[in-house]
Amino acid sequence: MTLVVEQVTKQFGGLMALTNINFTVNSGEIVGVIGPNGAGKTTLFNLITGVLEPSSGEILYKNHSLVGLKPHKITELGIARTFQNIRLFDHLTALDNVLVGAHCRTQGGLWQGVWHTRAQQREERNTREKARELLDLVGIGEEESSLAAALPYGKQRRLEIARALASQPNLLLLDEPAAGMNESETDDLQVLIKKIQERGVSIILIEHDMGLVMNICDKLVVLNFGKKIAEGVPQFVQDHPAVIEAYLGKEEE
Amino acid sequence: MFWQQMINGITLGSTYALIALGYTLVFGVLNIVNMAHGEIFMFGAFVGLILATKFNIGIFGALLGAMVAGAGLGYIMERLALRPLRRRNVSELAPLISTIGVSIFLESLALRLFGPQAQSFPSVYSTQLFEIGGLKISAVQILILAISFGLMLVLRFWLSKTRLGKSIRATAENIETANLLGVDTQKIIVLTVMLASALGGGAGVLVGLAFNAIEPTMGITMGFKGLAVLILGGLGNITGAMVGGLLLGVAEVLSVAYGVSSYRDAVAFGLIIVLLFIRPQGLFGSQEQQGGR
Amino acid sequence: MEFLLNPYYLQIIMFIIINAILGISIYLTLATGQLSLGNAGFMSIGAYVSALLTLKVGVPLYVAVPLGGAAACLMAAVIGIPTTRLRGIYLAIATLGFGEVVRVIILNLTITNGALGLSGIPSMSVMLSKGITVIGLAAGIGGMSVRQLGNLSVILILAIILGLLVFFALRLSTSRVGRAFAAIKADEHAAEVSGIDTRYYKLLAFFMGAFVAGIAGGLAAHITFYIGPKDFAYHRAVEILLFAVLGGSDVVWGPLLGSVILTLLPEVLRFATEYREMIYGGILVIMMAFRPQGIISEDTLRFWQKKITSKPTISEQKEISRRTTR
Repeated sequence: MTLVVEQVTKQFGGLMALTNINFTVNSGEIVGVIGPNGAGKTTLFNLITGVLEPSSGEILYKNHSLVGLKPHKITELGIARTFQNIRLFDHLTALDNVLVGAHCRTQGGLWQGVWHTRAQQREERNTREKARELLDLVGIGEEESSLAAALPYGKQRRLEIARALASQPNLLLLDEPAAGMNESETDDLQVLIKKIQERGVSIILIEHDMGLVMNICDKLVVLNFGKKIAEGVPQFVQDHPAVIEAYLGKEEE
Repeated sequence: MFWQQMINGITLGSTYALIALGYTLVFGVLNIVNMAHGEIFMFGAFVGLILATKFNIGIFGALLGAMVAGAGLGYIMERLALRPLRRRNVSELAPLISTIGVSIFLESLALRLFGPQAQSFPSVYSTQLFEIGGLKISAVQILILAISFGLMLVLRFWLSKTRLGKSIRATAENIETANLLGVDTQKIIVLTVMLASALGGGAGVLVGLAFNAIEPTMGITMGFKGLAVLILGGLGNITGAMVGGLLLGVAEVLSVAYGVSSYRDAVAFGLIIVLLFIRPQGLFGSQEQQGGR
Repeated sequence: MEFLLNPYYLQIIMFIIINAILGISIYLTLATGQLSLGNAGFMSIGAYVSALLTLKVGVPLYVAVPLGGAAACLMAAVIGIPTTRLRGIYLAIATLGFGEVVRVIILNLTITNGALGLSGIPSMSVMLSKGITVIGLAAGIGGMSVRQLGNLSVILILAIILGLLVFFALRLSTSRVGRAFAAIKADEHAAEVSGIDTRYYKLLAFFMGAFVAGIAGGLAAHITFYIGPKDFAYHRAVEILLFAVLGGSDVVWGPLLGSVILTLLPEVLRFATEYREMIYGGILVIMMAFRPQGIISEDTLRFWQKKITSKPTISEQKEISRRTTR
């Protein structure tokens, strides 16, 4: 089991953002987290990545507790994420954005960087090569010198994914990657996510695009008002009454 | 002896509290620290002085004039230095740097207008001494205490009960939501800046009375102390600003009384360094407020 | 020739270089998006420590100045360690207060001679002149006296130090650490989540800035032979900030330009000396409102780079090929 979320609760003052959330992510799985807006999905991501600490409960990654660890440490352990509203480094080039993502997998310190030692030059070459590979993987290889802010929306989303992949994660958290995409872009995204899965990366996907979710997720976890209301394979969840009610409301008698 | 010092400390502290309130209000609605607040405070002191000496207006008139002058300066600052920045998408540092520019400008202006030497208020009030239970308290001190606490109480009441006050709190809490709810946040921001600056101007007169000396460079020192109280109480926390101000005043007075008088101005700094190590959110701030986002 | 070797002009050049070094000190910290208002304080620590070392203990200059920088770093730790884990405003306020406190302490310690300041600090120019005499050039070269040679040597040394710092800054900006800095400046949270230990790098940048400011202080002390608490007040810190705000805070050339402009400005605008601070304040407000990145920014460099190489960018190339294949 890659990730275990156990009885996780997050409270903000009087507000219960998440209550007793339990689920697991197995190696190589794509798990979809769905639910109406405000259900606590992004909060869940924030808890896993160490941005917030759970009020109670445990989060285990490969049997290692993540609670209390700083976000960059968690990234080092092998968890990466993208953001709901894209957070790229605007004035850096696409390539530089990805190179930053690879930061925790490289070593070059201050002195090596200034004196351009052999080792540092070798490392730079390697890192750049890998970064270009990732840019090609997500399909924006030709944009490597473009400023992140200058890229069109769809390419920005893909760049964020490339940046996340640069840290060589075992678990990738994608927060609404298909938001704002048209059908053909979403199809491309689907292919990309599958390719990532083939590289051995487990994925947790927050999404509202049901087509995408049904197609690629091995398992779905449904949240509403901070509680888990259903879990299972897409077909099962699709017909689950509590899920239908959460999205569509109760049928009038 | 100790209680005597306490009275002095609380009197001084109440002025610090007023200055800190100015910072807190602006921080609350705009999320920036107005580095020029100290200079507005200083200008208030001078305006009050001029009103009291050249125009022979009584102390309350001088106070009022200082507050009006403060509000005026606040308005100009908001229009020229702060509002243009809100239109563009600038980093958190830009308004800060802009207000630093305003502070330098105002300080230099004051030096040109008022000259560098220290000046003092007419000593009509400072000579009257009262004795209560063995403790001496001057008329000036009573005046300062009364006005500071009075202003603080009025502010508190105003913020929690009146419509305008609630609009300010709403804007401070979440500007987008306040906008959606129909609050004219632009107007509220201007109003808050003017209010904060008025408090600063008034505090200027009170400090001028307390220390019996005002000079253009006092904006920097007092400004920094206000900032220290801002951190001490917790960024954006009104109660914190009030309590923190009193605490700093007492701490400073005690440090003078018990030995390290020449380092008095360093007490504020020492206090915040210690605080930043052990409890950066201040006395009343909440945990989630700090941290690099 | 005589005109250029006028000691007054030579001293201005020395000040330009010192200010350029100070500009780099604040640039280094700004590279991570942090605002430090304490560089005048660090400068004063560097100045006093190295001056006292050469004056009272007889330590050679090339040891005293780096030690001054190290002392500045030590103080930087006291402020930096608690604040780098917090929002930027805390650092700004703490460094502002730091500058004030250093001034107060300098005023009160007997060793620093209080308000009177330290005078009679060994002059770098004199030391170098002695050195020139020792190697046999007591009569000077090409019509220049030993003293003028001494001054020129000072400028040479300062220029070399500045050159090294610029080299350092340029290499830094294209390195892994420099990328981390830029990421933190662009979006600290995203940087943290991307695996960067933001606290470490912010502290690193802050230390670098303090060290460089301390060095500048040590050098300045031995050029002006006198230092006093007034030299390092809040205004100095704002002036240093101004180098970067005016010249540009994105790239190392920015503060260099800023320091040249702002050191020469008082000379050129003699008539407006009394309004100097007001002009400075105005510049800060106007720059923030109209061009917060300063005169020279990354875009400026990119623009000129394109003009010089006149090669279209990749996206422009695509545009051209798309248009021609229609």
